[in-house]
Amino acid sequence: MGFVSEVINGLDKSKENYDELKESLDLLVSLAGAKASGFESEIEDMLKLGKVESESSLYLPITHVQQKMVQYRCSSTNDVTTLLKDVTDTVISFFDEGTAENIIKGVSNMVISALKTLVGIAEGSEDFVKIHAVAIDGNPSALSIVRTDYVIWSRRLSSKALKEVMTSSYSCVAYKSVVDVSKMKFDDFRSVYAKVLSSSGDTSVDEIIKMIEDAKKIFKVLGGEINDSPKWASRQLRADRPVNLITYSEPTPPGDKYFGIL
Amino acid sequence: MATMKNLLDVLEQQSGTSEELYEKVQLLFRLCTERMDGFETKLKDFLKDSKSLTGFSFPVAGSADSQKQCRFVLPETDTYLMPHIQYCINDVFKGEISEAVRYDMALTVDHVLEQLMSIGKGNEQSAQGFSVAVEGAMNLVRVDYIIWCRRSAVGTMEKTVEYAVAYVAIKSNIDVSRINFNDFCCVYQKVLLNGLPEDLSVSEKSKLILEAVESAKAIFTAMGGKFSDAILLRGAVKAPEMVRFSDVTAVDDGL
Repeated sequence: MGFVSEVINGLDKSKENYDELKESLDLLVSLAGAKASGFESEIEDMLKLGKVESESSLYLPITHVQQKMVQYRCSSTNDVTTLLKDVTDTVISFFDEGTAENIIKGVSNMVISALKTLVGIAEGSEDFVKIHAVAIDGNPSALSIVRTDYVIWSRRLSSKALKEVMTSSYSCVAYKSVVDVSKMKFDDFRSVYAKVLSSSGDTSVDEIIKMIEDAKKIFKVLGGEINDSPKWASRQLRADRPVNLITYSEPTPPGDKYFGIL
Repeated sequence: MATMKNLLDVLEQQSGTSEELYEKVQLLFRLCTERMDGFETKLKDFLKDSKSLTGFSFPVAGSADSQKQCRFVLPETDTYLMPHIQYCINDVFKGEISEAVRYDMALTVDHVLEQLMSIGKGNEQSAQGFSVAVEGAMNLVRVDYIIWCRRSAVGTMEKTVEYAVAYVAIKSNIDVSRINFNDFCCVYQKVLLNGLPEDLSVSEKSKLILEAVESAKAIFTAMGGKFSDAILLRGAVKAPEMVRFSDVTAVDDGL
């Protein structure tokens, strides 16, 4: 997987169709840029609200955006493995050095599995994937709970001349933000964190439970509140309105007097 | 001007169309629609802050109407787009706007487009602007727009599509209770002045403008706008306080 700008610079100027190819690639870069800026504002809007999707009630508020990355990439059919390796490297670069290996692996696997769906799209079509993950970032002396948001857009090219240069174009937008622990519920954190851990593949259920228990401690240290004993009476589901219960009286069989005989 | 989808359909049906050209036109179409959506978001965010490009404050009560379109300008076609622009403006206002204001808006947009279309081959450019007007019987509105244009660079593409143009226009109702009439008047009189026929004398023009401003004033008052007694220059530095000296008295050197 290379950068699109590198491909444009590397075009053979002596070729007959150089101008045509360059214009197509320029258009592709502009389109990828427009897509990326659209996704940027979409992610930023969601981050402001602490949401991950407009229709989801999952609440992951943040204090600030720590890191942001926008890249335009392209790939040819032969280098899918390179593409996946590059993605893993990018995900690793997003986390601190001391971050647990299975967390990084979990996030990378989530991104890679989403990317695999994009690799298989039809020629001339485009699609995008959105991934969000939470993780415990850093080494034990400087820990923080972070939220990462990724959007990857891809367009598969269809014309023969373009396919000689590249098969697909990608636009990747990634945000790493520090979670506002004091405003977040541990259940919300756990629901996303458990997915990250299970995505790493080589973590057993016992290990996942242990890591969640550790996360609980970190969550408390960072100022989060955990409700250890759920009280059914006081617990509320995050529904818009409570369901009204309607009590019916016992149905009584109708007496004969109400029925006329025909 | 041609709608993009029509051109794509025509190209698809033509037997001689190369797949390279078809893909390129498709890419251009997607780019236009993406830009259009991006500009719409940008304009809405801009309106939330009630900003104007020149520093005037025109807080809005809400967006009343919006229009967005993307078009291809085909080669060897007439690039005089005034009738089309006027038609679009009329569409936004549903005909409830004076001829002079409509003409001025169209003229401004036409100038902007003219500049945008003079860009170099293979480049793209955008321009943002706004205008205020009295719509219908008594409605003060502002219209914000962003126009984007891309010029094709080479051979086959240039012969098929010379320019791709996308625009977004949002009409919003001005929150009269929060604006300064001077701000409104300052922009509105320019709109009126540009829209008046050129053959009128200066006195006739100023008479017409004064009439229009008076009616705008009446609407402004009717809608809850307040006139401040003192005219304050925004951005002016606070006047330095005058220090009054008493008359210098001669030092008594009775020693």
